[in-house]
Amino acid sequence: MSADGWPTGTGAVLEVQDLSVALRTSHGIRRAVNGISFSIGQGEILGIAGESGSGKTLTALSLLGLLPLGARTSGSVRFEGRELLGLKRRQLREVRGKQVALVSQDPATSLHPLLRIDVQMTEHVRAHLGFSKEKARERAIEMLTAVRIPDPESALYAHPHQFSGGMRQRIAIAMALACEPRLLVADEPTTALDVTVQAGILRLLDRLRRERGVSVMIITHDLGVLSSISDRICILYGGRVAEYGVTPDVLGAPRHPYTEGLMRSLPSASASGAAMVPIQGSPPSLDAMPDGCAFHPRCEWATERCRTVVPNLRTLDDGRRLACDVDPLPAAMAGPAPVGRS
Amino acid sequence: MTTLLELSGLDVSYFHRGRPPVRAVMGASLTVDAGEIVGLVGESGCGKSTLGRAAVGLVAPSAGEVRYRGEPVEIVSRSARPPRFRSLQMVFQDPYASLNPRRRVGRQIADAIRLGTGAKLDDEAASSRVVVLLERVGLSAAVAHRYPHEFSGGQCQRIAIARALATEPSCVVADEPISALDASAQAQIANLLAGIVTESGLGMLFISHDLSVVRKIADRTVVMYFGRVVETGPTGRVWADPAHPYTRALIGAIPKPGAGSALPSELSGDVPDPARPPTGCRFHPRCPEVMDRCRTEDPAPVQVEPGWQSVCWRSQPRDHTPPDQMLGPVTSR
Repeated sequence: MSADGWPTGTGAVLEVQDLSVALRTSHGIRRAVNGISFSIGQGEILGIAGESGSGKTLTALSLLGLLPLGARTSGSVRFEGRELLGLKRRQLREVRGKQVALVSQDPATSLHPLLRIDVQMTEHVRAHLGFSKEKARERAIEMLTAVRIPDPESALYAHPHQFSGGMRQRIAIAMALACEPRLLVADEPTTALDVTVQAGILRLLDRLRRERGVSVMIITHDLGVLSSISDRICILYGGRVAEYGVTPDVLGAPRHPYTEGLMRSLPSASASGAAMVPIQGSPPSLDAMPDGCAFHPRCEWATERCRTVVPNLRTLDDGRRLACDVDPLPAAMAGPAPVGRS
Repeated sequence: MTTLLELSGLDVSYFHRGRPPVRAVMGASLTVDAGEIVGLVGESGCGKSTLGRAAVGLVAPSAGEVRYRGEPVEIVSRSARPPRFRSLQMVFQDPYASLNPRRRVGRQIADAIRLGTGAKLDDEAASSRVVVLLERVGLSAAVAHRYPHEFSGGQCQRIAIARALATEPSCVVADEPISALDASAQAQIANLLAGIVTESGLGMLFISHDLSVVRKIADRTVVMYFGRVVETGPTGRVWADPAHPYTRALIGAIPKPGAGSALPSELSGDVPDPARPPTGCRFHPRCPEVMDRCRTEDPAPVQVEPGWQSVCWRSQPRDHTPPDQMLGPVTSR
């Protein structure tokens, strides 16, 4: 960790630099992720936030070498100093599942419906760590206990459909943790779940990083989830970083109009009783990415320059990164609200 | 206020061969008045969608009844619905599934106008009405010629709402209408629905697992747990000081965005197996305030304040008159 609390160099478990992902679409090759950089320290929880099409899931998949066929990547993804981009299948297999594990959104699809839990939870442990059948079983029970599955021994003999959605997600997390990965990539791990179950999963992730020092990259569009659990947060829009910094700074006093808009549109954000103010319009699609700042068609502060020039990601005094050349919010907070703002 | 929809003592059971029947809804009662939004919340599997489907006649109740404008709602069958129920409409969760993917948007809405109002309209009159409806949900007239797959989830939900409005409904049941949408689209659609209710004075049953949206737009909140209505009351009052321990747990589990927010509190345990319901109060195995009595005896509704009920042995009537502004939603629409 560097002095200002940002993991850099050897302190970072994961360091992503200038990552770009290009996809082949029916309209030609499109850049879905465009030069994004971030890092995760040991035991740290980094939140990646964005709407559909922001590139958040592609970013996660590129860490694991799980991008769709024909996708092109550039930049660098270093995991504990080792470059992951461009690894051969065999080399990737040593990392994937063992050191970097994925928890996906829908536990119903990440678990095999026809295989018993014990089969699913021991297979990768035996393959990766060379455990005996007996030892792998013990590990599975240990993990199921850690995620608080009641009666883990009999749970091993059950099939996925015998569990509720929240229990299935906990089993998926237990499975991901079974090889004691250094980094857990959780793609919308609680989106399909009820708030009560979600609270349990969030507490579990927080406990894991404190007790086991696991680093977590959690991807979601729910800023409420991120503000309660993440140390730092990276807001993506249109495949680029819009704002990136320490969570209380970014969500407490957003500087990017998109972050601020997201906060205002949340029903739970305003305890004071302000109404929800949605961001107008919808996120851009890959085939119709606007010129200049991708957010300008939806931004009430957009200037002529925003329509043509892509804003640089610059570092502010408090250490956060901001990609907005207008930076209207400090002035708006100080003075009267501009005309046209509801 | 005219009561539009009235559910009293509603029971809905699902039967599977060789298995005990599952009582998805048990003794649920609620009303929806003209010009109000009633928010129905609860965890998945609590029976809120079943209740919503029973309210429009998509499933048959096994006991109790559903009345729309005083008349028992008929179960939807293959034959045409009597005209008196056409003003009772439903909006579903997944707009891609509820719209016909192979029919142009404008035509689908025109179908709804013709079938729903029984009006004999020529194409020109129908399409001008379609334009009015599309503009009402914030879409331009040009979208009428396009297909559902060309739209985002939020736009599709607007189209589905326009189609529901085509019959000039006086009561709409919206089952998780915003759950499948992106963050910014959720707020847009919630505001749109609230605006429609304010403008046209229809009544709406808004079903959602997201308590914070219900808090923003609903006049009254109904909380369900495991097939039962456990708390009903004015949204502002319920949110400020919930009477039922389950409502408190739901509110406590919502992560709050903003600086310095803490981890949400956890409600232990899972929703019980519907085929083997617990004895006594159905919430007792998970309740942090459980007493001996809760394990054996089913609690009766307690009137906390006029118009506010809680089904819990610990709930007590509170004697004070709420200030007027506390009765409605937390924010004005």
